[in-house]
Amino acid sequence: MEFIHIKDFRKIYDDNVAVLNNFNLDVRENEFVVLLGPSGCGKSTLLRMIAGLENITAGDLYIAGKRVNDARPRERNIAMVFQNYALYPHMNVYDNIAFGLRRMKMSEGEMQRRVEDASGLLGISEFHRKRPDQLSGGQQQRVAIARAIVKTPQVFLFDEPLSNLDAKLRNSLRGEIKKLHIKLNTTTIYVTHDQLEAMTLADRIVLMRNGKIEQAGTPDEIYNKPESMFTAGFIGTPQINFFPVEIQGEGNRPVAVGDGLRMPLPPESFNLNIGQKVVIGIRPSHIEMVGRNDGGAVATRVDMLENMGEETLVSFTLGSTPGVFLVLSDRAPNRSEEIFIRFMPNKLHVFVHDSSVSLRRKIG
Amino acid sequence: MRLIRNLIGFVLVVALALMVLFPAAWTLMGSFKHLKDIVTTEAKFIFTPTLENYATIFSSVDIYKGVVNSLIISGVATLLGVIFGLPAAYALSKFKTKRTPDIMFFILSLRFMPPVAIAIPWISVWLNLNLFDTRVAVIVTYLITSISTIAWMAVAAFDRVSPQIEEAAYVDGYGQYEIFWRVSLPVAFKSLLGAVAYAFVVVWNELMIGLILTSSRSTTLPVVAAGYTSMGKEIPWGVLNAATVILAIPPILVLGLIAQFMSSVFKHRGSGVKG
Ligand SMILES: Nc1ncnc2c1ncn2[C@@H]1O[C@H](COP(=O)(O)OP(=O)(O)O)[C@@H](O)[C@H]1O
Ligand SMILES: [Mg+2]
Repeated sequence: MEFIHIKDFRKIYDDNVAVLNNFNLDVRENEFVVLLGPSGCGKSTLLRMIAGLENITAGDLYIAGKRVNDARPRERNIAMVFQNYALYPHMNVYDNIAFGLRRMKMSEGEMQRRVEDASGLLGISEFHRKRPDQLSGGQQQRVAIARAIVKTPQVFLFDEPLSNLDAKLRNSLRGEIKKLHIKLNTTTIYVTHDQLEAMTLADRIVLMRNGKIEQAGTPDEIYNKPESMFTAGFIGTPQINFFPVEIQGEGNRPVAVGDGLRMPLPPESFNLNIGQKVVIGIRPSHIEMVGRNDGGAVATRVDMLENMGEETLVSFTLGSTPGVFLVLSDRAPNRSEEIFIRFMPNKLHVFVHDSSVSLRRKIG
Repeated sequence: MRLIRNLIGFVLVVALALMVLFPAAWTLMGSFKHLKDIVTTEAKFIFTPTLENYATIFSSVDIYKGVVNSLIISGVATLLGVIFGLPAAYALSKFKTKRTPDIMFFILSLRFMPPVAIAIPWISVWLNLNLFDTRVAVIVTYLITSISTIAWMAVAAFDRVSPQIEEAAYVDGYGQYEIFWRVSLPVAFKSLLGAVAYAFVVVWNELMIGLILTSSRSTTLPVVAAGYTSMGKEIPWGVLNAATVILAIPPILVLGLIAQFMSSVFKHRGSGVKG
């Protein structure tokens, strides 16, 4: 059953431009949903409308079956973690965490027990007497997360909680957020523009673009079955390769013919018409080096090599379109060497050239 | 090269400090001198000190009255400035509209007005109300200064309280008024203290309005001190110096607070957040 029900959301700020329009989303109980999308697509707006920090221009919001459009944040039973931590600078860590509990008028003993528990989970018990400005960014964000979980809310809302941290801290705190969710199992909506965070944390990714849902699905679905070039391009590093081609018939098999490229396509996977202009998408890890005479082999030349340790990123050009693929470093070719590559047929994506919509056949 | 640059800088700073400090030090010294040590042709740095000037002041009814009046008038005007100015500033800072810059300019423009232009219309008001030369009249007139000064500076102080902190408190369950008392006010406290101190000093130092709106009962200390300058050739320089020293004590005491305000306002906005 859906726990958070967002129906026909609409948001218009003072400048009269609709940031969100007819936005619908259901979040199940205990689900970890990540709102992913480029900066300015309306993720924070949506999250803040759910939190009660931004009013809902039109539409309905239900949490646990109750319509909460006009409810204050505290009546919605939510807790939020902000990008810039937003700790109370005049209070020590203990009071920061306890501040929300004080409002609930609970006994000192119960409060102390809860603050200890939350701090223990985040490993910040030793900082109780310190002020926020005496802590590092990562420690501050732990305090902010402890402040959120201590209230045992029904819903956690995160707005880019890791974006202000350096890469190493980001990875470790990301892991802890995941562990925390496994442990507490609280329904969570998490906003980020970082596709890696989304892939690693989400039960379900909601990819947004210009205030609309571009695609929603499990990380696996989003990664392997992108419904548009935008989704395919937004997810995955190094980025997916795109090659514009035309569909031609060769016997009864469709063949993709492009600049410096000619390869058969699996007709059972895609809805293809002869003469159609399409774009082929293939991820860098789904291109392999083959022999000259292997089926589907395409000739090209190595432009550049980037050693990434275990793997090496090889740049090449087909006609005038650049591409990259990954190869185990001990099998990497040499610079300027002529090589033959093959796009793994079951990993191909095909999109309509103009609309960029995927031509993948829907099964069932 | 670097040494020379530092040396030039050092010399300049010392020269500037001397320029500012010398008259102050001279006044302080003068307040401990006998008149004969002051009215000499050559400057005297070695002299027999005396407390007679201060004794004169503290036995002078006029000066004693001036100190009391100044303390009451500046204190009450500042207090009322806080009571009216801070909520106004909070509203102006947190609920910005298209009109906010105009309102801010209006508040600032109150400080552009020459004191004489403020005081003269008030003479007839207070005469008609039979309140001329009362502390109430002076206090109410000074409210224009204290409220506008405090409101103007406090807007800057409240602007630097991050909206996310207030939103966090809102999500933590607190209402608008609780957020003001428990979060915004304490977070902005240091800068606000500076604003209040500055307003106090401005009112404390004010001469022109005090001169025009008082005649004897409610004269403030600057008015009394200024009175000594019009005594012709018989100016009691030592007493005048002592009066100046006393007049300067409160502003110097609050200088630290003002400096705190200045440095917090000009400090980088992103403070408090470490990467
Ligand atoms: N308070 C506001 N007033 C006016 N426009 C806003 C406001 N907040 C956000 N916007 C606009 O709404 C759009 C979406 O912003 P936001 O939800 O912050 O995007 P995201 O979090 O995805 O980066 C942007 O174009 C932004 O300029
Ligand atoms: Mg955002």
